[in-house]
Amino acid sequence: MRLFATRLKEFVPTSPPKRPNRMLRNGRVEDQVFGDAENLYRRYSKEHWVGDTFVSAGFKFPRPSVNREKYSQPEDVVYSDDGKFTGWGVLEFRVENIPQRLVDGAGRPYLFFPWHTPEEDNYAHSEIWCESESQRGQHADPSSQTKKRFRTILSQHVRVRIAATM
Amino acid sequence: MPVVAESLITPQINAPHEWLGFGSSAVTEREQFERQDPFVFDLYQAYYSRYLKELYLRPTFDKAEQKLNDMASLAPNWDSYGAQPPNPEARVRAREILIVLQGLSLPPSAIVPSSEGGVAICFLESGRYADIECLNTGEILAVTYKGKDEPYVWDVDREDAAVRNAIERIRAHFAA
Repeated sequence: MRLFATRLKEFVPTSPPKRPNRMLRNGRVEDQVFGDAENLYRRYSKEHWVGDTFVSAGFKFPRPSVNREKYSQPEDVVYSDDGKFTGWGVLEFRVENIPQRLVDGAGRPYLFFPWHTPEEDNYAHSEIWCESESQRGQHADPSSQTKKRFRTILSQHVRVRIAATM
Repeated sequence: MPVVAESLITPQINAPHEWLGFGSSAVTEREQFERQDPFVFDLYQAYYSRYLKELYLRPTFDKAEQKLNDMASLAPNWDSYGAQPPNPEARVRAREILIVLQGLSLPPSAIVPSSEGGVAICFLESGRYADIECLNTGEILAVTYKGKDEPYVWDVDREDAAVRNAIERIRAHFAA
C-alpha cells in the first residue's frame, strides 16, 4: 500500500486548469462604464521589450484587444484550455493612458476609447475603439501616422504585470 | 551579409593591413609612409578606423539579418492577436535600411516583427527611443521620443535619400 502511495505521488495532473467562473459571461450584459484608473490587460512576448521599453510594434490597430480589470484577473489573459499561451506575459495600462483625442496631419481629430465587447468564455474582453470626431458611431480608419502615434503613446505607459518567459 | 555592405568593406581591408600588424619594423615603414604622403596616410587611417568599426559592428548586423530571415517563417497570428507575419516587401525594405545603417555604422538595438504587420527596427539609448517600421502596406514610418514625452512620428519615403535623412534625424535625436 505504501509503495502504491509512493508511486501515485510520481504522477502529476495533466488536465488543464478549469476556466475560472468569472471569465464566463453567463448572460451578463455589456458594461460600458470604465473608470480612468481601471487597468486593461494584454498579452505580450519578450521580444517586444527592448531594454526597459515596450515597443509600439507590440500593438496593432484597429481595435486592439484587452481584458478589463473590473471583471478579470491579469492571469485570465493567458488562460487557455490547451495551454497555448504558456510563457506569454501580461502587461497592463490604465484607461487614462489611452490617448483620448489625436489630430492627424490634415487637422482631423480622432477619438479613442475602451469598449466592452464580452465573449461567451471571456466576459472581460474589451477593445480600444477609434471614431472620427465628426462621425461618431462609426469605426474610423485614421492615417498610418496617427495609428503609430496612438500605438506609441500606449506603449509608453505599459507596465509588466506577469513577466513573459518567451 | 548584404552585398552592398560587402563592397563597402572589401577595399578597406587590404591596404592598411599591409603595414599594420607587421611588428616593430612596420612602425618605421608606417612613419616613412606618413612622411612621404600625409594625405594618403590620413585616408588610410580613416579607412582603417572605419574598417575596425565595421568589424566590431558586423556581428550585430549579422544577427539583425538573421532575425529578419527568421521572420519569414512566422505564422499568421504569431502575436496571438491575429497579426500577419511581415511580408516579403516589408522584409526587403527593412533589409535595405539595415544596409544603410551598416554603412553609417549605426547598429539597431533590436529588430522585431510588428503586430501591425511588418518589421520594426528599434533604437534605444539613455531613455531615448526611436524606430523605423516597415509595414506590409509598403509604408515606412519612423518615431522618436524620450521617456513619456509626446512622440514625433513621420512618414519615410522609400528613396535612399529619405531613409538616410530619417536615420540622421534619429542620430540627432540620440545626440541631443
